[in-house]
Amino acid sequence: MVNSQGLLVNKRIRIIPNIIRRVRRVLQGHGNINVQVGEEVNPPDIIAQYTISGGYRRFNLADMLSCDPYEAIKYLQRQVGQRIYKGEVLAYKPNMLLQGKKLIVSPMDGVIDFYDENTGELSVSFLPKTVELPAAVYGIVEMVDSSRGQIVIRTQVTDIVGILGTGKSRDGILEMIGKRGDLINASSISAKYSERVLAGGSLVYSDGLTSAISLGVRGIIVGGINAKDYKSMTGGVLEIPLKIGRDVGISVIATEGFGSIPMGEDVYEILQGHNGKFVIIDGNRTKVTLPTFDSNSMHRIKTTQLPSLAQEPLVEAVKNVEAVEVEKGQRVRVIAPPFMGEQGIVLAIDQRPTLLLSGINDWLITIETKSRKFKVPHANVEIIG
Amino acid sequence: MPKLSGIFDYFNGVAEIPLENIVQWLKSVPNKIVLENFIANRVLYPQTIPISEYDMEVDMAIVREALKLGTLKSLPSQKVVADTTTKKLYIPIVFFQRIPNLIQLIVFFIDAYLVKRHKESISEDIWTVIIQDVNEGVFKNSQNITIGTVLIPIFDNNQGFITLIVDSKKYQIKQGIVTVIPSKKNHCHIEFQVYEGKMLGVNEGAIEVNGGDVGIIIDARRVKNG
Repeated sequence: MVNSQGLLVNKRIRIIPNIIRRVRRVLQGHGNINVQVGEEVNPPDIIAQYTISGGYRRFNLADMLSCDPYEAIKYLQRQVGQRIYKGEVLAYKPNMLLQGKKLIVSPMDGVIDFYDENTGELSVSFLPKTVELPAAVYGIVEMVDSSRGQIVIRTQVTDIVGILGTGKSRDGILEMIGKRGDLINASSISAKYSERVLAGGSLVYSDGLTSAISLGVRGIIVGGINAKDYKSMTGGVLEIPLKIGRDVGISVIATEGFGSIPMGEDVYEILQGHNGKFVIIDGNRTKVTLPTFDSNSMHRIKTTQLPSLAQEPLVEAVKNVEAVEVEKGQRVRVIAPPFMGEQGIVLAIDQRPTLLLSGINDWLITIETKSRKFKVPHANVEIIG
Repeated sequence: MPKLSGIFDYFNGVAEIPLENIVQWLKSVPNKIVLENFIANRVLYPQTIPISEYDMEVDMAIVREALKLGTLKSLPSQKVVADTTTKKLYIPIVFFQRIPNLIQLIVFFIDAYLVKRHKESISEDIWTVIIQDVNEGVFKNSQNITIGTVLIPIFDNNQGFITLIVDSKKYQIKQGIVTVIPSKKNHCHIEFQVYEGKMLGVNEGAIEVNGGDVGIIIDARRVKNG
């Protein structure tokens, strides 16, 4: 597109460094909050404790002991309501005529809930677990909401704005699991990534997503996702941005688009620098928040005023794309094939349009990346940074 | 300045068009996941343009099917696409800028807006085609540019044909094809004769129509009750 000033392209803000804003720390169960409004906190400070119930397991004791349901209860080594720990003997049936002994060991720490003498089913609840909630950031406590179990902290962060995403706000430790161009599938994701936020790669396959959900991965930040998989997570339609937030048990953000597109160098480098640290991922807002871990930031946090919490909009209006004139020396990313996802500097802008093989006339710009130079239509780039 | 938009911003539900509808227009059948991602990226980045012939082929197939499904949004200041009162077919200029094959583009609009609609009068066999400059400021002196006229004879069977004399030249066009006769005249005199069919309710006659950069488009595909 050309206007009286020159060639226009979209400029997209992908990284918002070192801004002061609020983050929420949320208790995932009933508990106690240890901090007050106005208190300064550091990342390792425990700001709350809460209890979570892990659910329950059921199994058929009668089948396991090879006896009738009304008989199996005789072999239970704990009574209903008692605790049992992983590895302890749950049930024992001694040697019988034509049958060997049967020993059932508890697979978990729990409490015997009930036994059904009609069906032989035994239910064991996981023992409640007490979890300590760290502040995870440097900052000032701005609000404490005990009824909702939330603590709002003013802090300094770097925000990464993705292209598309889904899933509610979650947090965890960031783990880089691949290079920019890697493909992420089920074999890339192991149980050690439980409760982590994973980053890296050009594409996450559907089996990778499924595996991540079942293993308790909190989020995935990747270059691309297949449109089919995205639609299956967002109710069947392609809606960008999402008008209604969706959540299928994991937060996912694609930083480049649909299909296999290497994660942009700009985003990858920032994430790599944050590897092993606490992050917040909000798929529905396509935003990754990286708190600053510089204790010197506290001065700026203290002296920066934000609009009151009451005035804070429920949904931020992030205007991160606008049309500007493209100029030499600007950093751009390519947003259409070929070279989709590549980033480089504008070396030159053609003075006359070129007739492309597609039959369209457009002004080409020359881009230099770390490894090569090439020309693309100006319509197929965005300015970044 | 507001972000740039593109042709695919003017449709609803582009990414939900059944892939089979698009694949039918492509010379080579692509991997469906790749095609679905390509279409989704066009929705994500609507201002981008195709570089290769194949990418343009895919874009044209998308536009064609999106028009047929009736998903075109109303643009500000845009007239109704097919105005039955004035017998004018308005094509927004954004399509003209994006699909350089103008004749194909007109055929897409004919298929979407003229072929399946219920004909209310015989005068709907003739439509003036106009590129509408909807607030784009591309045309300096006029918001609309007439580029030609579409003639749509109706045949009784697939053996029919139409002969036309345009600018003293004679043409014969068989049933089943779309033909373009160049004529830049504002007022173009045409004598026609339809064999095994009719146009404007008659087998033969003479008319004055608008020419333009495209000229006279004869869409001879229609068969009665077909």
